[in-house]
Amino acid sequence: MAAVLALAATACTGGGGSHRSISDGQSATASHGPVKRGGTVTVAEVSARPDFVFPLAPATNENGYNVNLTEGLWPFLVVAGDGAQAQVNKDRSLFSSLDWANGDKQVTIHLKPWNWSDGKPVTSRDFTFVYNLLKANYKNWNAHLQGLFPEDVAKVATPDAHTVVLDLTRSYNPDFYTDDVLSTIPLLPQHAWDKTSASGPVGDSDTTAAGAKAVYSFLQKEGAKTGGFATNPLWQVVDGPWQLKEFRSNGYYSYVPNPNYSGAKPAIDKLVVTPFTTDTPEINALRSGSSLDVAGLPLNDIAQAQALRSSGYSIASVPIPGVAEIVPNLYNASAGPLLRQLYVRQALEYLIDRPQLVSKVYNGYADPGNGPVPVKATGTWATPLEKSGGPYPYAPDKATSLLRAHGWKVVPSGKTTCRSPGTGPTQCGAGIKAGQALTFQLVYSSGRATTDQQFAAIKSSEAQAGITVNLKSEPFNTLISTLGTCTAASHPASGCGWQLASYGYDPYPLYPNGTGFFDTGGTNNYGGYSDPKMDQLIKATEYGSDKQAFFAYEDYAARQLPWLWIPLRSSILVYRSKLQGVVPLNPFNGGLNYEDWSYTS
Amino acid sequence: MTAADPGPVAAGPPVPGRPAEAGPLTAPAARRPWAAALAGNRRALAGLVLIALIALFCFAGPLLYRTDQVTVHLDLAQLPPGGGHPLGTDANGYDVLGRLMAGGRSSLELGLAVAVATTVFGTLYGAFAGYLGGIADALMMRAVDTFLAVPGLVLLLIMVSMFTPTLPGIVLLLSLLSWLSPARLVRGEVLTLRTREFVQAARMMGGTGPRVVLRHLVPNAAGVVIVSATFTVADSILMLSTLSFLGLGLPPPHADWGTMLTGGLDFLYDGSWWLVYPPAVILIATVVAFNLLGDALHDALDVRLQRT
Repeated sequence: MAAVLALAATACTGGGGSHRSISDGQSATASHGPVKRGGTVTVAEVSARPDFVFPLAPATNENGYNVNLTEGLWPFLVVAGDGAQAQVNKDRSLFSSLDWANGDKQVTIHLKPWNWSDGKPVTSRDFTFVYNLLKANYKNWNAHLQGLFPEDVAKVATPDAHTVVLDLTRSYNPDFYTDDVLSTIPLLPQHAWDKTSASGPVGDSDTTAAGAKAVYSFLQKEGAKTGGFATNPLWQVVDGPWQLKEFRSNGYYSYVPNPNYSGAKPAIDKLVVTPFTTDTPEINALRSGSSLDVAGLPLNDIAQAQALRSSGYSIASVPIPGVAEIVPNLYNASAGPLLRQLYVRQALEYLIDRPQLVSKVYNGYADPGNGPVPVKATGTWATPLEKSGGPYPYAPDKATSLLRAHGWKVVPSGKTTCRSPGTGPTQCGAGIKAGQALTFQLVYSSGRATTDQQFAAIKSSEAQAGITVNLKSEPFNTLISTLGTCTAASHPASGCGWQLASYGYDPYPLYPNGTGFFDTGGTNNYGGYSDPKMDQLIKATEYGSDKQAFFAYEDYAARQLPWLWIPLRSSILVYRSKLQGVVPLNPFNGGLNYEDWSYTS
Repeated sequence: MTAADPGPVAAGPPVPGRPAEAGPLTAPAARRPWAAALAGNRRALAGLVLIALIALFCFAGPLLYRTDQVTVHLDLAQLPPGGGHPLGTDANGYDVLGRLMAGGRSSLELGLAVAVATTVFGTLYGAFAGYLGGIADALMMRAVDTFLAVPGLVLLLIMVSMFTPTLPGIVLLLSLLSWLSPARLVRGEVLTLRTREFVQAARMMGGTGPRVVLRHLVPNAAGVVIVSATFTVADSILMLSTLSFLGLGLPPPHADWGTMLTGGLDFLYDGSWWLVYPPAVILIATVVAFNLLGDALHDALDVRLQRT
């Protein structure tokens, strides 16, 4: 009751304001005031928390928050995003050069002469350690792309301590391989981690398949122990700009600079990441003006921009390169036969009013989600079809016509049922029974008011064609841990009971093709979509650099709806005005390049 | 009823120190004082009137003021009070006044359903435990103590996070958690009643255990039961609101006051007072009304308070 009264009292004092002047975080000019070294920066993280620290995480820990935690400790060989530029960040990457030869079948990686935090040099042996671990365990690695690294490596040679030569089984598009494959590989300290137990000796166990399995198993087991994230000596050996100082089970953690980092060292003394279950307490903390230095601005609170500026914050937005989704589980026992029908997916998509969601729910700060490639964040890769609104603009009439044409009795705002079962062109389709209703359960990640609003609107909109969408929200960590990757062969299986799922969005690497998402057996292909033509088109984008091949894949994917496309919110970052180095925002990590940040006097 | 059966009118509420007055001859008169006391109690009348008004608002209101509480209208989102929306609209474009009515229906239905379920089961459980006594009583009440040790809200949060919440499901869960208190109250009451003459008479005349419990003990514990049921209504409405406020209530487009408050919270800083005040006020009013009624009933049924 007291809480109710307190709420009511606060509502009286609610402000409002303009958000017209939120700057574009990509075109914003970096300030170069005098740097005041030291200080602590506190960053908010909403909705979920890391649960795995070993950087080669299994599929059950497919969680972007883990990447947020570990990429500052063990950077990837190739780091995406240089300031606001969609290009490789050569300063932060671990290679000094990549040389392609032999018709793009061979790549020579020259490593920078950097050191680990314990003073030992980063060498090519650290690369072969990662390669050996993955070669024996790639099926249990969440970033594995089917048929690619390490499966496609014919030979690894290390002519010297800082050179690695990879002979691949076929020619690749160098941009694809650099941006999408090498960008998933960190280097790991062989001299500290090549062991099978905490007290065991460090050796060369990884050089045999059995040894590599044992080492991988040990490291994954240790990596799941959240209580040891900041205390286990294993995780203190890093080659990134940070070392983990604290980690609490609620997701709170802090970094201090790695004193032996070989790149440009951070200027701040400490970085704290503090968790919020939902975005409401986050905006409360921002409004209080005392506890947070950097946070995302919930898009339903966009009107608070002016008030926050008055409190000493600056605000910048950046579109996210990625794809937001509703993933259909094509092999769910009850919904699978429905969702395997392209016309059903088309009807569902026709009923999503994406432009209205962008303008009303996201206040204009979202990509419309017209297809697999975001128009705003990676416009150079978007086809005319995507730029013109995609193949399925909002059209309830077309949705109902499609259903009627396939033997459904459409009851707007009621329950649409199959009237004509069978596999003919005017019938419902294989596995669909007479009288079966178009009813689905959609499970989505909780914590954001805009997401609740979006799915309530989609549910309501789908009802126009008599399609029932029952909503269930779950915390992100719960959702991800229970969302199995489901294929025709995996049913019935635990983790495959879901029908439609939306866990937020999938971030894209620099080269935004569909590898891993829409290809048969792709790691992120949770719903089991499989289409030989799609596989062929995706492979064409991997092997060649012809942009028309990319466009052919993109338009085909947009039309085939392996996932239902929905808007992808932009990232709006609120940061203390006296903190510099935040803008221009790197869209590939939401602008969270902590090592570039410093206070200015 | 047989001639020898003293029947349910045998006694009013327990009167400590005055066992003789609780006998059969006083029974018909025993009802009148608390009914009269209730009628003369201003708090009770206020509570009753308020409950009646809220029930009218929630159940009859939609007949006069028709709104669409199913279809989301983003183009009408967050309109301030005025025009065709006396209390404005929420973030989904739902009319707030209509949503208060819809939310009230589910809140009241849930409160009453939980009160009935817990009262019936808790009363029977407690009455039989008290009547049987001995080992059976000890075992039954230790079971109650064990369940009481489970933190209810935590259990609820776990359950609703595991399963999609539905109104019947939440009624069931709240009932499972709420029957323990009436069971203990009734058992205590029955322990004092079972030694009374009318109970002994009923047993001597061949009344079976269930008959004695159902026809004599339970009716005479009615005072405690009614008061407990009244408070259960208020507690259940608050619990549903708590769950909804924590984001674990009924999924959209279902409406309840707790969810409305949570929605208001999301837009707290935008000055959208109409998303916060109306559900807060009606929630407080409803809970206060049931508590007023419960307090008044308690006073009316407690002879010690009547005598002072």
